[in-house]
Amino acid sequence: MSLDPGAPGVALGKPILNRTYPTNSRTHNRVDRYGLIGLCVLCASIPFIQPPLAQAQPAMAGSFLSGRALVIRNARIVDGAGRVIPKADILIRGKRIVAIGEKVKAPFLARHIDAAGRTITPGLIDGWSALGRVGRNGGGDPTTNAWDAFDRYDREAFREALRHGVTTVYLGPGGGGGINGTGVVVQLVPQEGHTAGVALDGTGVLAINLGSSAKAIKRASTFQGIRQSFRKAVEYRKALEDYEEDLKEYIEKLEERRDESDADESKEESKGESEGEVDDDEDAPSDDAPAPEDKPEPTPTPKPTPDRRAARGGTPRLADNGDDGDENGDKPGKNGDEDNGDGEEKEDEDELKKPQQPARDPASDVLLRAIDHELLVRITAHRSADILNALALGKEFNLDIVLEGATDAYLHAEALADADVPVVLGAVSRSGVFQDNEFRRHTAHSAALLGKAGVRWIVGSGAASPQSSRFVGFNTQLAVGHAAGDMDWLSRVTRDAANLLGVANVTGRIARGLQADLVIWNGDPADPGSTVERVIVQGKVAYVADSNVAGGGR
Amino acid sequence: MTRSRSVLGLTFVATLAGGAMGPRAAAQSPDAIVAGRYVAADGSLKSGAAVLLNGEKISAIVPEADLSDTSEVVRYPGAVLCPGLIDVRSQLGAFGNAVETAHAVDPAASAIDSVDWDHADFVAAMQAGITTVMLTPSANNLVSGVASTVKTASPQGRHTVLRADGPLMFALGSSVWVYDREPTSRVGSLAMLRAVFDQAGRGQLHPRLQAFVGGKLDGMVVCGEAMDVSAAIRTFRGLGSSVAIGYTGDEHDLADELGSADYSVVVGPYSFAMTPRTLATAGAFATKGVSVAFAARTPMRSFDALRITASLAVRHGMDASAARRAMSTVPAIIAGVAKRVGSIQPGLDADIVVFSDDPLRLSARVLAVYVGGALVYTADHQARGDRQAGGQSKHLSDSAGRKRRGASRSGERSRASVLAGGG
Repeated sequence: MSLDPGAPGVALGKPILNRTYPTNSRTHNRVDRYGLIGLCVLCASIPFIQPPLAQAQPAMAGSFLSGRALVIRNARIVDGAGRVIPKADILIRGKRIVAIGEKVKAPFLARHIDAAGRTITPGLIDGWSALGRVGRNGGGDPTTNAWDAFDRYDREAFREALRHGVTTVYLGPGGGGGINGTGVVVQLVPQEGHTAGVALDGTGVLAINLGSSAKAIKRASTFQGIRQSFRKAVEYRKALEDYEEDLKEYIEKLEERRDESDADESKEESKGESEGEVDDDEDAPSDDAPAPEDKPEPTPTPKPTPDRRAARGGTPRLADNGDDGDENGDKPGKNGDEDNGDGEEKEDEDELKKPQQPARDPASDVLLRAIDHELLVRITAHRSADILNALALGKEFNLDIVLEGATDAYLHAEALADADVPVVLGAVSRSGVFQDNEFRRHTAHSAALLGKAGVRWIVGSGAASPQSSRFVGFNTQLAVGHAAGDMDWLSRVTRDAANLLGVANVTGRIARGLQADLVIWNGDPADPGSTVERVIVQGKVAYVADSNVAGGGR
Repeated sequence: MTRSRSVLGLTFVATLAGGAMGPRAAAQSPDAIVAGRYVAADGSLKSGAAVLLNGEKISAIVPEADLSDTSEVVRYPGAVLCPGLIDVRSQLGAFGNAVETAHAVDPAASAIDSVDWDHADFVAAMQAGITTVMLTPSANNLVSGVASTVKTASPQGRHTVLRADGPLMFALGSSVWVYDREPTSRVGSLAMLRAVFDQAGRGQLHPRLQAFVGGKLDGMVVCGEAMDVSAAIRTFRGLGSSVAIGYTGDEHDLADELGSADYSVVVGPYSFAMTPRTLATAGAFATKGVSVAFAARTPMRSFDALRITASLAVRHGMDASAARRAMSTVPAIIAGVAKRVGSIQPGLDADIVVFSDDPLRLSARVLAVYVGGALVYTADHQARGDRQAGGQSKHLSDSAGRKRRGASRSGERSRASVLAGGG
């Protein structure tokens, strides 16, 4: 029976398998049900049963087909680590490259792309991008996530970046001086629901801007404020740890008292005395004992919201002890082990005061992740003083820092090399006029001078404009062009960028086991006349060039 | 003993003398320069040739095999010889001071009058490969005087002025009507301009305007929007010995109008932030046969702007040979100095830049600059890292005829000059 969706009368809901089964009423119903389900499944799969595609189509066209393996044949491969393979095949399964070799055996139903005469490189990585930025990003709040501020549906912008071979970008929060939130690495691959890109887990970076104000005094006070925030985070952790200890002690004492009171109880019972208030007598020495059912007390909550949250369970670290149900047991002020000096009697009472949990501080939680080396810290600084401050901050709190912008960095190349601080440079070629500001000592030779001193560097597009992300390859070539010595620009903008962004185990090179992020060029990628024919990101074909090659028409 | 000491003394004195005269004076023009490839007059890359010099001029281009043994030859294996780049809309040394906006029609002004010849930007431009600039006023007046064409460096230590009397500079667009004087609108601009041409045609107003209207002086019209270009084509029809239009917009359809009027176009500079359509316009014009020149607008834009413009144009569809011509040959024609500079051809000045690769590639860098046959700049040897023979370029090269990119350039031949700053 034809399942052509155009054919009229594909009757939904009519059991079509009825005839082949006995007309037993119970079986009838079962058959009806199964038949209905079967039919629905069949109809639902109609969009996916298409004429087999000889060439891979962009990912959204057929999700059934995109589950097939992908083989690229006869390509010249520049692998991003400085090696060139004159001719090889690449086999891609799912998101990853599973084989590279002379003649790879294609699995059943694999899609094929013939890349004879083409050059394949890893996808280019823009380590400092503003792709998809709309208006101004906010700033000043460490808890914000940069990806939320970018237009992830801006397919046109993302497509234009893919058109020039960019597959991965780092998006940071904008914002003025201060700690501005977490940036993240995004890959330009269409997702379900019109999203044009996806953020990679585990690539979060804490972004700090030290250099935005033209006023030195403001920059200095911004820096002190940032130090203060980090100190606060450290104290916050100490307070939490103290609280946990106190809570443990408190619980233990509670247990002790309960045991005592149980023991006393059984003693008293064995004596035969029965008083109504046995339980209360045991607890008599401390009126403020944890017996909420007996004594409704006012709930002193100096900061209602955090306490309620704490009572509901608090942070994972405190979950086990946070909910003793003692909502009314919170007392203002002191931790359990403080002695208020009111005498022996009161001491007992104080010991059994439930310690107060410090208020949640989400901003400090983020900073602690940076202190724990879970987050890289990326500091935008151009002037010498700000760069030195950045280094000092890294040293004081033992952070893994990356310098962004870093116009004056070449003047401190040795210090950066000693501290092993890598640098992300922005626009390489700048005008010489109007530069009475943070770019006053800008030089196009910055990369060369840093490299000579042993500082790791990459070049990003600089995030000055969202559109310049697509030309990160050209910008990197300019840096190499101004550096004396032969340097492989392609490795800088693929493998080296992946290393610096912390995604080297995912992308940046063409190698077995890594993700399939590939760009198929119709010529030498160093030649501006070469254009991109196809881009594969996360194993999916994310871009296919229009047939109108000249200028792209747009 | 005495003899060696006196030899030593003589050498010492000679070196001092040589140093005192200045490196430019000590440098002599080589007889020939040989590199892996060179940019031919049609903009394509050709290989296997030697460029013969005769003093300040290029005398011939011959096959490398035909070089005689006695010539003093400077070799740059694997490099590319390029005619000195020309920025046809520059304010080098004159930025911020190059136009008198009190009156919108100011034919008597000369851009050269505001130039600071000692400005460091001249050296920076030369080190980026720009050997000639046309100094133009800002596009803020309907008629803003004449441009001047000068070299950015010269062996004699003074700036060679190639031309001081033209082309006559015009502007149309919103940048013209922002001042507290007439015109204050597009309509007013064109009415004023037509009135000016009428009067000049009747023998009134400044001699330059009369010469322009009479077809004896060339002109350049800098336009803002596409409608300004159309207006310029209408208004300037039949005027000027030749007219160039400056336009960096995205209206591809102007190519037909420009082609039929036989106007050349000055495009740029392009930036990484521009739309794809804008970046494709230079290619769209060139494809339709319009003569395209690039402008870098130094020093307002970076000194790499000329090559960045060329790279972006080629990536968006412009023919590579046309793009190379747009950096030197066509600007020379527009500036009216094509008999002196603009391409590597016999009879023209030996203004040659040695690039490490095709100048369209942004990873290429300037290895040496010759102006008037004399080496005026060589990239700093010490800043160079270890160059492996072949290196990266071996991997990415795909042309069988290409020479291997060898170790660094000649420089040993002459001791001259890293002027201010080096590589």
